[in-house]
Amino acid sequence: MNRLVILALLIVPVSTAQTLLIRGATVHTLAGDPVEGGDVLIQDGVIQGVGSRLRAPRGATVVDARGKHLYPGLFDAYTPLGLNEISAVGVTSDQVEKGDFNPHLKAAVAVNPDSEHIAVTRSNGVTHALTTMSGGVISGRASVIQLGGWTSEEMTIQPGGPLVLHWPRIRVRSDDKKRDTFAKAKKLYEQEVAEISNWLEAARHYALAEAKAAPGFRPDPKLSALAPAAAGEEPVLFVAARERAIRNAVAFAEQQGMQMILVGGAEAWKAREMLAEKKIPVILGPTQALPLDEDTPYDRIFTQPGELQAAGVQFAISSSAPSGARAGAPYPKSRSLPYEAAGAVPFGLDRDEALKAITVYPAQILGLGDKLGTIEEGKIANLMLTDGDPLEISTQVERLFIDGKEVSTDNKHQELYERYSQRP
Amino acid sequence: MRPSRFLALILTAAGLSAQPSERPRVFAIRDARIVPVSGPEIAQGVVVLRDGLIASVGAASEIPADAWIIEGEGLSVYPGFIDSLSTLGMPDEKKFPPVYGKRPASGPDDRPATSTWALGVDHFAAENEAVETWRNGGFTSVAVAPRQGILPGQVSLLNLDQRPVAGAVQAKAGLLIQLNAERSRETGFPSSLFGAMSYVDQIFLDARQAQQAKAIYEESPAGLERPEYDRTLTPIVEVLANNSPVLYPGNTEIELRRALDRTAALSKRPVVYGAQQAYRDGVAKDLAEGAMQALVNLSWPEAPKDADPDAQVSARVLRFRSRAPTSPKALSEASVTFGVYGSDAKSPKDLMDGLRKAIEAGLSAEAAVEALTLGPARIYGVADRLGSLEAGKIANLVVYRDDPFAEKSRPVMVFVDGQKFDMPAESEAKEKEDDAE
Amino acid sequence: MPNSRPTLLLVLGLALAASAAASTLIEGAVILTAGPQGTIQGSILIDEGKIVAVGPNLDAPDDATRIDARGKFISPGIIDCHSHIAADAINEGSVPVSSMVSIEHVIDPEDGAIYRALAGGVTTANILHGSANPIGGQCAVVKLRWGKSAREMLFEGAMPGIKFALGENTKRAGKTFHPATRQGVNEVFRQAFLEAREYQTRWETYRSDKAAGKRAIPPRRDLKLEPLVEILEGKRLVHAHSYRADEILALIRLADEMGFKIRTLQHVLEGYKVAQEIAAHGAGASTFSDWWAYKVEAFDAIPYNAAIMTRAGVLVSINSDSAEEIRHLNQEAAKSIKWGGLTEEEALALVTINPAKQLMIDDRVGSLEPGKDADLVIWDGPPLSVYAKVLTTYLDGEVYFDREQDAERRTALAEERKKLTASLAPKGKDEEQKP
Repeated sequence: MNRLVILALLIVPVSTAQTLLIRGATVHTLAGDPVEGGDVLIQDGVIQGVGSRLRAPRGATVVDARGKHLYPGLFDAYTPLGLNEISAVGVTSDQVEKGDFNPHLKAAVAVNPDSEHIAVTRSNGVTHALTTMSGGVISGRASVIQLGGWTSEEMTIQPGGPLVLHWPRIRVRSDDKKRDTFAKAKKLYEQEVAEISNWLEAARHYALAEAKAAPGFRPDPKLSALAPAAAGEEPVLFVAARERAIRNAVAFAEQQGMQMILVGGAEAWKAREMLAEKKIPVILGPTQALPLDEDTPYDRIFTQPGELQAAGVQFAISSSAPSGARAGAPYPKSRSLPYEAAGAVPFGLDRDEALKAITVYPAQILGLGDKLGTIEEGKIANLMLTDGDPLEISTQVERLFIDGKEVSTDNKHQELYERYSQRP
Repeated sequence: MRPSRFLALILTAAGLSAQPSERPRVFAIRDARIVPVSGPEIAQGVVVLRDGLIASVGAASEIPADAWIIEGEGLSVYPGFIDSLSTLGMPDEKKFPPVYGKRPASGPDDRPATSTWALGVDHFAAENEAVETWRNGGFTSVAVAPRQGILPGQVSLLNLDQRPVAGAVQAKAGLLIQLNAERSRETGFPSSLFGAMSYVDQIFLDARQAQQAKAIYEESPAGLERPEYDRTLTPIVEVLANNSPVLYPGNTEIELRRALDRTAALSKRPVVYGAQQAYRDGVAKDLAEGAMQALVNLSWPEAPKDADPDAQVSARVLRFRSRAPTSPKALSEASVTFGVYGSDAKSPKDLMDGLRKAIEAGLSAEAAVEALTLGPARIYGVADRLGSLEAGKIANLVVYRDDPFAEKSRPVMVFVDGQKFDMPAESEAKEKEDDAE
Repeated sequence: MPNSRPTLLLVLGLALAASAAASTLIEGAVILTAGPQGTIQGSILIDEGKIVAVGPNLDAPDDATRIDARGKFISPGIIDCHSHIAADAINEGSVPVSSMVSIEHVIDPEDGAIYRALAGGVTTANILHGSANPIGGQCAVVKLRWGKSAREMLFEGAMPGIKFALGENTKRAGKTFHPATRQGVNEVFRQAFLEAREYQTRWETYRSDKAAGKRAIPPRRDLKLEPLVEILEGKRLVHAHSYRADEILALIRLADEMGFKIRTLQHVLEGYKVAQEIAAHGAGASTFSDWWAYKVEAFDAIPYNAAIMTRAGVLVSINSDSAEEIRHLNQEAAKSIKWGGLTEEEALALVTINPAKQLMIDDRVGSLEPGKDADLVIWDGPPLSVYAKVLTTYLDGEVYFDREQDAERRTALAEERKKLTASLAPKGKDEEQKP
């Protein structure tokens, strides 16, 4: 749908330092054809207009973007960004809490705005992310953050995002007497599923009791946090990889009346008709991961996004959702997000779809499609200015805008580079 | 314990048998089909046993007047079967832990998990019932060795009669090497496969050097630094001097080829045990060219009984499970001498089941019999006294009415060191088998 | 053969059979030689496993197999200077010096990671011992000859190598034995080389005694010290896993003191801080493209590392240290264009001719030049682009990976699995379980 808006007349806003006019770029709105020589007017963090030859309001900062490309900032739909500094050093991590059921925790509470990872990651065009905790069965609420702000609160777009639920796995382990046969492992799994079911049921009862202000009612943060998901009022991120787990999770969500977003989905391709039919969106992990099994085709991970596209499944590509047997580099991979998406293009995914999988679709899947993901009037001005195709490795991200303000691309790596280049 | 068994034990302990008062010392089986293994079958012939040895074998041998005659019409006589690598009667890990020092081993010099002097026969302690179970399955000899550690000791070849220890056929029948010993922070070096492999390489070098050093020093010690005393090396020196077999593990093709490479520097009498991928292209041929003998593990790879039905098993693993039983055939066709054993065999039936699978997969019955008899006898260096029906050899025999490899087949009688053991009645036999499992 | 070779040959048809007998001409491509010819438009002639010619207009014998590669790109086979694939053991970490163990003894030629690396254009890899201790085991340079035996995978004539390791992995706080500090690690090397020198002397004394007719007992051969003697004699290449600038310098000084050269520093994530010193010593550097922050010593790692060291005159390669990363080393090389401004040629060299030189196998591999091994990759786009994928990988002039063959192999594998699963299924109900 083409929502290009051309401003012929000047709207006179109150001129503040927050007014920005980016001029002369090729604007890739991702909501239609790119606008050559286009302008984007930004005020108070919001895009006010997109078009040609927009007039700069008085006092506006003009950014000369001739010869450059303007894209929406990238959205990493699943990452521990801001929660880990050095993975080998446990005290720098706030990713995993003890206990299996922690629906009341919100990831954004512990996002460190001065984590070196924030500046490093945004320097490659990632402007916002869904930061997630992990561990246990229900790890907490993921939070949508943007990669700029003085405090964690300023950075947080949505503190109480969807719950993360790790769907239990049937795992036969010959060295563990509790699960050394399939029958035993299945029994354990059924117990784990029953426990989830019990929590949801308890949350529903809690909601009823709260609504009725039942005598002796005591607030319970966990059940309170779980109640909307249990009532099907908000989506839940179900983390599942194998086909069997995916189908079981879908059946469970249906039976419980819950909205489901599938995360990981290494074998989602095996259930793609079902996912398309039931309109269950998927947040995939990085394409730079190993195939699940010895005989899995070497390019299974690369071909899956294209196959999902062809089947009509809506999906996003993230840097850190569980993917394949083992992900590549052992550190938060948000900076490489564009290449994780690009990896599917030679194997069948449309190039434009790959870009949308890390911009528009994450926003839509997470219910923020009206705020993020494209360059259109009314959306948050999270943008990047590049010298070319952001999916291509050699491209430089030259300038960044988060919440309508220009943010420096400087970061720890750049500083060290400049410093040591000066060494006599 | 049932009264008759109790009585038998007392009588045995008193040196008397449960047989009639005078134990016969001369037997003649006549009109039987005889499978000597070392020569062609004799459709109808006579085997004479005297004083624990085979006196004669032939189509028309003379039957001595003092012989106890056994009518062999419809019976087949084979050399007694040999389990080439048994755990019968050997102590378990808790009773016989690998030899480590008080601190974690800090290198090969600490001789971790090494007890080369330990002989299987010295640690053998089987219950009579267990011995009987195997004997009733046609097995007259077992090769046993301590099994804890990297160099746990030496194989002994024992006969399964009343006195397996005193009647050991060969106390030092070969040196065992294991590369999958338990490893932990407490044990120290080696903590890896290649650590264990390099340790074996090093200790063999040390043994050769110790031998050289001793010879030079003993010739005239004056002026020379005296060699260190290291009790782990003498048994290795002996094994090398006697050209005894050195057993090295190797089950998959990768491991079999590794065994060929590594043993080239160790010994001229390498014997690989496992050998379940000897069916792979070129492997059996290369084993033959490398003068490698083999002990084939008849506990074939199988899907675990309680596996996840949705688990993705690779084609490679499926191929292995499907083709492993063809390995003995491949070895036989390449003229590799081999014996058989069962790492998971709890009874002789398990072993014979495994061998039957190999026969169904193409191993000839003759080759199967050889793998139970003369093959292991050759490997353990006792082919001059055991393993075939020839005059002068030890009188270990097993007699069948049916095909020994048929599913419910049982021997009719067994001779060990010339003593006759009758098989228990059907029902008693079944009960014993159930007990054993 | 471990995989279904008979099926492959059946399905492949003449092309494969022909290339074994006659020469092969791959025509019409953009060829990134990584050699003196640079990047040209033309053809490559292969015969008997070697490159015969590279150029714009090549003649070929009439019976040559002709491969139309118009619109495609050809590069040398990629060389990964730091890998742990294809090995059944990685670390002997129970002792500070484990030079007696060797990766060559434990190569696993059936590791699927080999095939997946071929599908990413990699043809040669340096398989290293891990970083559990200061002096680790001997390495193995291998060609990814999928389908062949472990011995056949070894790169003939490659100079033997050995692994050293500095830093956090080696110190591993909480370990019960020495060394627990970087200073202690450094001393382990000094001590080991002093012992190696003593060992050398012991044998020299013995040999001269015997030559002089004196009675002498031969010293014990020591499999741990012999590789160290080889290092001192310049016959074994040292690959030193290292992170921090200070430990890198300390090892360089120790090597100078002991009289040997570090062949490559591996990871060397702070190498950019001491690039001059590395260049002066003459060590090469094999590093990651952009890994950082997974350990404290990796916190100052920057993706500009390769570029900075290259500019300082260090011979630099980019490696994977991962069965996953090895699949896209072409992309990792391209990152040094973005971060540090290397040219395309310099970037490609990071994963081709540079690692070849580091491993001293550049007379055989690393660039597309006449006389070198026919290890090359056909891409459907420029290899430094994210949008390119491998179509065919040649090794020793034979096809070891091909997209079309892979599709056929997949089908054949699926059928085989179905057949095998059916034949292995338990037969009938008369097989009762024993109690």
